[in-house]
Amino acid sequence: MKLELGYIYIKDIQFAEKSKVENGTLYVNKEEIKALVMEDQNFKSVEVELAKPGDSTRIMPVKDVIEPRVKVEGPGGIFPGMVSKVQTVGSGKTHVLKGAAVITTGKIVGFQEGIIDMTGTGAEYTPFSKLNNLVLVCQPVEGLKQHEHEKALRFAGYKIAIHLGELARTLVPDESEVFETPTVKEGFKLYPELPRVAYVLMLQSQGLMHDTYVYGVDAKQSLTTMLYPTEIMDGAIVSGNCVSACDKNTTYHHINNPVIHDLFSEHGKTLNFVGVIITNENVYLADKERSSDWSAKLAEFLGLDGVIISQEGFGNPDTDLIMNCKKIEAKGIKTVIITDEYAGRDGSSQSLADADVSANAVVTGGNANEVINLPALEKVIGYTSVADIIAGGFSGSLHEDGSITAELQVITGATNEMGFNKLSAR
Amino acid sequence: MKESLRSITEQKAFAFCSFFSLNLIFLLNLSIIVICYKNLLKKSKRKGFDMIITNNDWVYEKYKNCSNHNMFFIEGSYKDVLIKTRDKIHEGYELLTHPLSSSLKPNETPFKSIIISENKDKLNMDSLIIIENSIMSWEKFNNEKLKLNFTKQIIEDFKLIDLTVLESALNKK
Repeated sequence: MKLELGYIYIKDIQFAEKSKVENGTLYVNKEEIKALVMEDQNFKSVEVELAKPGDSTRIMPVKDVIEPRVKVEGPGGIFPGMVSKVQTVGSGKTHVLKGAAVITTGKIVGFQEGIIDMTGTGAEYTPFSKLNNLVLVCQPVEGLKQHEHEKALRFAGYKIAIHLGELARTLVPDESEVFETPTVKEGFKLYPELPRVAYVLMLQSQGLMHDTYVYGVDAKQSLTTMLYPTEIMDGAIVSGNCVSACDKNTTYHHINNPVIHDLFSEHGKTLNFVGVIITNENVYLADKERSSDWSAKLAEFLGLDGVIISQEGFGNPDTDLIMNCKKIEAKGIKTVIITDEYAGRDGSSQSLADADVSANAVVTGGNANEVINLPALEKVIGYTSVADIIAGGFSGSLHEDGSITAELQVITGATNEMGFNKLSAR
Repeated sequence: MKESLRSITEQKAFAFCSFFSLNLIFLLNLSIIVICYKNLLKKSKRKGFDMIITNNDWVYEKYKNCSNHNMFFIEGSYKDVLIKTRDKIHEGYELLTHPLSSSLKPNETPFKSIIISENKDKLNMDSLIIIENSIMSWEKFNNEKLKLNFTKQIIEDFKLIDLTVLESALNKK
């Protein structure tokens, strides 16, 4: 399967009479966006804001971040099974507004999470501070249940991202990149000497505000299965996970999965990137056994030599991570796991809630318990008052001057377990 | 003579058939009794039967009258639920859901619901390792008390998340 991504680089975002992309600027008609969001009767009102790199702006609480894309050639559309009809994506050509994003915010439940600072200390920890963001602040109608609210907000984000992506349909990309995955048979013939490597992508799937969807299917209802890597670039996987800001995989992370990009960059050189095995993180222990059995079985079936495993979340998923690692290693296949750590504020406690000797090659996204100070910023998009009751926040987190002292886990994407981080120890 | 002989033969055949039929009925009844007894023995191990240990009154109220679940309500903390679960695992019960379910950290949410088997067997080491690691995680997080002041709405939201995460497991069974 072969996909060409055409990047249209966005260096600025502005409100304008007409929505368009011109000379690297994304112009957005605010009223048009509002009207599109308000088509959903679950919303009472919506505010549309801009947040650019370097702005003295804080966005909180963040629910999802989505990159605008449009399918210009090949079958299907972006976010198949969710917004576009169900059809296998991942081939043909897709245009990307690279450097732009749609961010959704909202108070679905009383406790909240997720800060994106566009400048200062906090900005260093999140990749989204480098983007030109269109932020939706949606108010639900009275009495809307949390389930419906979460779903409405999620779909508002997809709808606006697709709307903006359409602006790129007829543009000539600034740069293009081609990604191709051969069939198993072709791969064996093409690269007989190279190690066969796959990516085991673990998806959050525990319930309300902890879900992920694959072609519209709730991941907790699915057995472990396989995707071509390019399917994910066209939005085959979307996030419904609104808990644990620092290590949740937003929809932006999924379609820009750095493990997939890095494996592609080595494909045909140092390794043969065979494909992506997707598996879930259910709370029922029998599901964990079944799903990890299937991960190991598929890895063996594909004749793999090595596997990279990434997880999403803390605690319960640690057990899935170790089960996947242990069972795949038991098949004689080497593994590297990617995680983050909850090692206490001094970093001296055990990092994961599970462990095994076979997990002897680990890449960490950082310690989510580390305490940071975020300066007061001039503008807050969303709700400042949630700082005290945000994951990683505590009583007194929000100071009178608007600055915040909290654990790193308050920041969206700070310790991402796909390795999509801005900072490293190197 | 022929008539009487035929009559005797018919009577014998009737008697034989009756005897055979009665035996068949007896055997059938016996089989039914054996099957029922076996089912009775299996009943407690049937899919869907379990025990829920919880300190979340929403979970208790929703499932207390449900015949598939035995409820163990704890008027206590998240940690009390973990400790009671560990005690049950020591007795031989098997852990069915992960004690650290949900990405809400053990020092954020006050509520926890865990499902264990209805019946006990010999000590399940996998269950024991998971619950001990979970208690260690709870202690690690609670070394740094958050001292959060939750409103009634936030308390209810925590209960809802705990309930829905639990139900994601109940719906899978």
